[in-house]
Amino acid sequence: MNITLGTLVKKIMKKWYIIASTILVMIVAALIYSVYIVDANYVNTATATLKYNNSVASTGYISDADFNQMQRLMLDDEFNETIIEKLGAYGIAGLDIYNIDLEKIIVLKEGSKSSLITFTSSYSDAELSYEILTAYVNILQNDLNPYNLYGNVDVYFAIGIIEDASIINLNDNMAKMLILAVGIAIMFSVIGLVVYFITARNLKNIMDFQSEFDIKVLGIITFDNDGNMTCDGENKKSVTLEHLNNKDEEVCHDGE
Amino acid sequence: MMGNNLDDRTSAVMASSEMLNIVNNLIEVVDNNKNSPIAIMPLSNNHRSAEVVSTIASTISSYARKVILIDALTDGNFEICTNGQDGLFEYIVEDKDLEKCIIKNANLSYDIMPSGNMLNGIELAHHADFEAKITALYKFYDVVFVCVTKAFDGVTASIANKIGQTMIIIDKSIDNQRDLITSKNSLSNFIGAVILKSSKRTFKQWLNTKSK
Repeated sequence: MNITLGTLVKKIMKKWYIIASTILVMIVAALIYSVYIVDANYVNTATATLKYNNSVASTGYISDADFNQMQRLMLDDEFNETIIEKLGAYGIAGLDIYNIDLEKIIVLKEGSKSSLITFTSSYSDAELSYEILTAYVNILQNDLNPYNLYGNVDVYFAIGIIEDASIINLNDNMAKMLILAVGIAIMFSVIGLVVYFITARNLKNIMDFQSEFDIKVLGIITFDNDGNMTCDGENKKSVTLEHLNNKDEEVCHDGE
Repeated sequence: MMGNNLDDRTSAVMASSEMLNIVNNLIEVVDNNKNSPIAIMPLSNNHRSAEVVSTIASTISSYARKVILIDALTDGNFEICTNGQDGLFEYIVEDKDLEKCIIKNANLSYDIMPSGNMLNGIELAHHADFEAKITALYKFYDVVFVCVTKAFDGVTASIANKIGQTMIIIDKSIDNQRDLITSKNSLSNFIGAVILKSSKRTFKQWLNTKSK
């Protein structure tokens, strides 16, 4: 059965309720998944200002080279082992510091003018997330100020305010999950409808049937409950043989 | 021409416009293929199919065509081609002569050759001179319908194909759509299908009906 693009679009639009219901189901599924299945992640943010020789960088921005150096430092195994040892010394209750992946918990971002570097800590426990970040920035500021990266230049961090923990999978991950769910629902429902309309044999009437199977239907005779032939469908009329040659006089005698 | 004059026959047959469409189609086939019999194959052995066969024959005869309806395979299904009216006929079986096997009835506008049993108990379709006898009927008739009344199967299809062009009447089969397609594919010269359905059902519903 041939079908044009325009016809296909119209047919799909007529089935809007299928797409809508698919979206609804996917949203519910995404909400259930986000709230009940996936552990909530909590994020804390701290800001740091990189200073050269006790002064803020003259440009007000951290240079790309400095930022890259910091990132490399944070990915350095030896540096992280040192951090973890010191975190262990902090003795954060409830945290098995030697079984966490610090690189995934602490993330470094380029900051704005007032916060040249931003550290964020994401963890499934809000309190621990906060404590990890607090310990981390304290270590950086007081114990492991990475001035050695810059030789003898006095470089250190001035750690700013650590923000309150927030549930990021409600504010961020869940929103992404919902958008993804809606996108998947639209995509799959539309693809499904396209496949259905292209492949389905939509045999609503004789014309469809004849064109689909190349079978000529000479006629359809209908019968009522009593087994009598009836007038039916588009041909709501029958004729007596006396009227065969005068179709203008055709009269439906159904029920006589 | 053989048989009674049309004027002497009852012609007040009620036909639906759909029936007229069917008949017009058949007359076109008849007129385009002179002296070619048409096999009628009801797929269901029921009264509705019988009534349609009878109405088709009656209606075509009202178009000034001399019609004979042959029941090629009796096997207890004689009623389908005669619409259960065989009791009304005066059987004329004087000998094997073809003419003598034909039944006339004043109430019908067409003639009937009821069964092969009248030819020494041999079903007409299996008679050695079957095709020749049918051809001979064109001396007397314009339209020769050969009713193949057994359920649709390979044997019936081969007989229908021997007759030539075939139309089927399909009412309530196990799988309407499948049987339509099977018929079309099995019959070498398939004219078309007459569909019988309840007025309560749409064509789509009928088409997708599958008996359990």
